[in-house]
Amino acid sequence: MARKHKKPLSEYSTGQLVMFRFRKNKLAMFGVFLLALVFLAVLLAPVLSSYEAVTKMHIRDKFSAPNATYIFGTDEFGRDLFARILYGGRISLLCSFAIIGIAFVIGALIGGAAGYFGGKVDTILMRIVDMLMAVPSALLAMAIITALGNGIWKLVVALAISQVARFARIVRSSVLTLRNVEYIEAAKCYGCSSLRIILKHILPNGIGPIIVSATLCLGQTILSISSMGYLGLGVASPTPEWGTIISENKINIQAYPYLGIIPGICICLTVMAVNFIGDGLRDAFDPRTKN
Amino acid sequence: MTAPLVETRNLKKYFKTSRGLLHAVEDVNLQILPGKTLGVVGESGCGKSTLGRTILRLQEATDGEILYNGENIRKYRGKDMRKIHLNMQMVFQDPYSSLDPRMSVHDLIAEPVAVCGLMRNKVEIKEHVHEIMEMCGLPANHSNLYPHELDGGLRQRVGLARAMAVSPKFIVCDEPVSALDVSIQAQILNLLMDLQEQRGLCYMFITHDLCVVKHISNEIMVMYMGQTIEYAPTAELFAHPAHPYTKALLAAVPTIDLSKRNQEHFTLKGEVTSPINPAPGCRFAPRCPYACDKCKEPCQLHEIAPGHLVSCKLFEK
Repeated sequence: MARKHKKPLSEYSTGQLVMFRFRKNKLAMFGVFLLALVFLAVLLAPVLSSYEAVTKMHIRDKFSAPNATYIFGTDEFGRDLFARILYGGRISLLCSFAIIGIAFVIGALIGGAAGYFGGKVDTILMRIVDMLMAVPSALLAMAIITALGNGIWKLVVALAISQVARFARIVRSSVLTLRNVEYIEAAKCYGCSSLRIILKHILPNGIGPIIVSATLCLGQTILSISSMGYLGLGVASPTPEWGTIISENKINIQAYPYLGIIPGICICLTVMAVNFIGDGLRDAFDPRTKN
Repeated sequence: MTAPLVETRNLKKYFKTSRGLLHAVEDVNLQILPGKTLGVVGESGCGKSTLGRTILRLQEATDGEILYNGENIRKYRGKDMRKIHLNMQMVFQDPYSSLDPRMSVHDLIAEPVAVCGLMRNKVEIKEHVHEIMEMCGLPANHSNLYPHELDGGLRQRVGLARAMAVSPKFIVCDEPVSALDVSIQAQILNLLMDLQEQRGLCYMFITHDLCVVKHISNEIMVMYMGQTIEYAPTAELFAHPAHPYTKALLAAVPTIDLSKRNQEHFTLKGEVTSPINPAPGCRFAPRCPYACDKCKEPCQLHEIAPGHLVSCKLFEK
């Protein structure tokens, strides 16, 4: 471990130890680096390119492969792909993180309550979740947007709701396996409140599968934003968004593969980075991982 | 005579199952005096752990009374119950699953103190934790270790330290040594007995190991399918076991006495019958070599010697 001062391990607080373990994990640090890079690029979009370039068409330069003027090339209307990806990344990242965040919090509350309290609470909550699951999530999101009206934030809400069921199920199963463990009983025995038990004992011990599925879900979410956009809901062309960029170019991908590959790589890198970070966090929070 | 610290009156715990009511604990009356130990023995599934959990109200009793210091705590809620829990704690069987793997030894022992609001100051808590650790034979430099870094014996000491952290007067020990090997068992038992001597603790010691229970208990309660079948002071029970089931249990204890080598053992035949919707009479009757028609009638505990209670038709006059 890269510790500058060789204090004995026991003098570090739990939080510090978690940081040590996380920093030692090379893959996780690579993930942090990648994600930082993506975020930096997206944040610095106005410096690297102008917003005008997003929609400005250079008809003469259409379908130009990546070159010095157009780093990522241009699409069928001669729009600069680099600018579109930078500004599109803002929407993609913001929306997908918001969607996962909202879905996770609501799902964790529903699944946590269902798993922890059991009985009637479980039956009622899980039947509601079953109803959400019975409808295909894309269809559900479409129905919600139709009811709420169009707009990016309404899209976020709709997609979040359509993902809630998945998180509720995962959290519930984690909680169920932990509910009857003896240390939970011990906690009840010294008067721990239900909230404290869930937050301090169940959540830290059951977070592993939840983090993994949340990070995997991120990539899917970026794509579902675009499929909604393709249907004219939420983000519609010409507003750029990574998924939308792929779908608006899909007819030309065979002839000009870079149109699909470049935004694809962006989505891939982001998902991979988040995945590595998620994995690293899961390991870092587990004291059984060696220091 | 001193008043009992913990007492149950006709305590019942039934579980609803798809096939009917499972009678896990039936009409258990017990009394534990301050500073004494009651051993509860019985085979797996006879309801002894359920009894312990019900007394601590980790499970809600179906009927009956649980008295602590003469007060019925079954009606207690929230704050009152938390106060009672400062006095009643539990040590669990499995030292692996009873400690949260994400918490260090210090945090594990400090948590009950913080939750109960005994102390607020962090430094004060830290000092208290060190005191408790020393008392339970845990080296002070272990306080930042995690459970997976400790062996079974040390883990069980942490479990005990956690229970001791709120200075309880009564501890339910649910088979605290059955997961440990014999040399460690002795250490933990001696620790339990030392603590009892120093602090006047009162134990309910649940086990299936008769040697252990003989070592530690003042009184012994034998359970069979949720019912008390025999209740006697330890010496009396081992000297004059009355109930046929108790006799069989004692006969099953392995001995190193060579003179008894070729002796015929008194062994039980058959299996435990289902505790779901049991027939009224004696529940042991289907396996009992002395069973007769009278055994189909309900059976009560009878005093056959001072403090020695037996539930068997053989002793009814």
